[in-house]
Amino acid sequence: MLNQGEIQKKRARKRQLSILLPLVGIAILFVLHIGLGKTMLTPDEVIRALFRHDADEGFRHIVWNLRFPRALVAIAAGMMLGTAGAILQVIMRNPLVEPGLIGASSGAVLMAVLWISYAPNAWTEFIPLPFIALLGGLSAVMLVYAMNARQQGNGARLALLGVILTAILQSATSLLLLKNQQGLSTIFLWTFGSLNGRGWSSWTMLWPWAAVGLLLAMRYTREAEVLQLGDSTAQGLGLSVNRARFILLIIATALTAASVSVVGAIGFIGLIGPHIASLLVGRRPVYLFPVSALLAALLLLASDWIGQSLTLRLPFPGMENHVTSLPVGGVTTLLGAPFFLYLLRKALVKK
Amino acid sequence: MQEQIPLLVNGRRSMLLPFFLFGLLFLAAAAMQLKLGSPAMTWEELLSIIFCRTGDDLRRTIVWEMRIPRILLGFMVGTMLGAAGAIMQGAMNNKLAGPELLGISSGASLAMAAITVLHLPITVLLHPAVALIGGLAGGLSVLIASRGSRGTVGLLLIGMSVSAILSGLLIILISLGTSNDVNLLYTYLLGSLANRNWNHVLRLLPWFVTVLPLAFFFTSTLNLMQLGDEAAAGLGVQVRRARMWMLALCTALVAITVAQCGPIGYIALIAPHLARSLLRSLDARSVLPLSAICGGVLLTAADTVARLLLYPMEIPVGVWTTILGGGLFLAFFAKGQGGGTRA
Repeated sequence: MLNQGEIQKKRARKRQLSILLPLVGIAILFVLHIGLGKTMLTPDEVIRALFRHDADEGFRHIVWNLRFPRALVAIAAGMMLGTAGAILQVIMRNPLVEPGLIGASSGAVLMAVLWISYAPNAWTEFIPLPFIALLGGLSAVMLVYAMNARQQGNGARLALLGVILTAILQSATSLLLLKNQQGLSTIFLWTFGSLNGRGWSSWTMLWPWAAVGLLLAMRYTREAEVLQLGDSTAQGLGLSVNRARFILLIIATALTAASVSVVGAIGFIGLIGPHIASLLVGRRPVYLFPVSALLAALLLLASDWIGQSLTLRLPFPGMENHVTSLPVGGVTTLLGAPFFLYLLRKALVKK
Repeated sequence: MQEQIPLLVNGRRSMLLPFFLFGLLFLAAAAMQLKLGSPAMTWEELLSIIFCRTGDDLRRTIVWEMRIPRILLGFMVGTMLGAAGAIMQGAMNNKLAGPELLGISSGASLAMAAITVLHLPITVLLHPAVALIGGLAGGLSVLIASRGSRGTVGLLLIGMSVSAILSGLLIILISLGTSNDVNLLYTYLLGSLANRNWNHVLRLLPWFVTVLPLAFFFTSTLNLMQLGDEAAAGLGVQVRRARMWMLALCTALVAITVAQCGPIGYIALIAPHLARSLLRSLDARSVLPLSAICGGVLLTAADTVARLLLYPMEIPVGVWTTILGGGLFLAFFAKGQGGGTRA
């Protein structure tokens, strides 16, 4: 007979480790990520440039003005996408759901592009952009959700609806992009998600949303947990199901929309992070949300690191002209889509 | 099994009306395509240019060298897509199947993008073959990945995720190109019929003439396969082999069109649906040709809209077909019709 207390203790240790290890991983990758670039820096030099004022002036400039904000943006965006994915998976009770797969990202992109192209100049400041993106993302998600309302519990169907809606929304975005040809290739890469050239201004735009969104997500973990038990049970426990679901949906979409309006529609991060997290700490939202956030941040940082080092290692023709590194969205798709395939096969073959 | 009954009561007469209808629609779309735009022509001018070959030199060139080949190309491409869709939906016994959902289009476009970005020394004449290889690779990986799983939705989702992998590769390829390539590629990847001339028509023609008739060899097999795998096998069809051949043929049809004008989505998905509902029949002998013609007419009409709606700005026709066709698909799907939730 196993000691109940011992099991509890073991679980608690596993949880602590699941938080701690990604944090350590992020810290290590953070230093590596900053060190990577046309001017290679050793970890030692990176840390000196970050914390010591007497370090080399050029290094300090590169690190502080170019690479540090980019890494910060990657971490914040990863956390936002990971949390958004975890919330969506919980409220839809569906492991195949991801902000990019149910139309949230592409809806946000469409509205953002619409806004940038047509809003009066004074309003294209960065501040309203996430709100507009939120509007687009929310309508797309609601549409998918409403269309699947009659067939609750059919997870694959929901994903398929989302994918097709995404295709339609992307086409509409292309339409807008073609009407406004300047900067086409930049925006084109942006629609797949890219961290290139993200600096302090991106960070100032992103962090308030990240802070508020992540805190709100943690605030609603109890509701999410009850919601997981099923609608009727949740109702029986005194939760107003629709309201709780709607609030969580808004939080998830807001996190997605804000990250989309800064780094573009980076796919599959919000799928992998929560999935690994639920393997590590189980499906209780109190633990699931933060661990998903950390893991997704780790993944995004790692993907960007891979993308950048690939660019540096492989001499591509025409590379110097216009691209500083591969868009991170391409890397995450290449990593994430096979993973999605694996999840899908597991879900389908089992039945 | 109720759906099977109309199979038996198909009469030739029921085909006349839809054909007539599509003929009319095609003429209307073609006339708009010829007449409007810059310079717009009067009917008299147009008729004299077409039938008497007289009139202003510039206008004659525009009509004969730009607008007519474009109409022809659009019709041919649409026909191939429509036929491919009908065969594919029959072969998979699945009314939601389409090349854009099963990795074929994205495989073919990846191959074409590789040619453009990496400047591979391949002559234009061989582009369809390269696209075919890419399309086959994409389709095969979907088939391999979906082994053992059951159900329509699962297959489509697997197709989606393979397409996502391919598009990830595509993004990386594109970001390697110079920005000039990127712009070109972007319009190409949306599927466009702009700036086509007789060369494109002539390049497509041999493939069109050789590959499309092959489709009609399969009509009787298609009819049997609609009864389900077991029944078809009982009636003497080698189901697996027949399915493989049909899918290969579809891939060929689609890949050839992708090589000429990029992946034009959802025509192959919608055309067979329209054909079936117009004929009120599932008989492949009449559905297949009508679906082909329907695809051709749809694409011609969509291209006319694409060129003229936001004139002088030209929108690639693939954008319109995806928005409209994808919307229709969602509507089918949400209604749960067309075998959406059945395996």
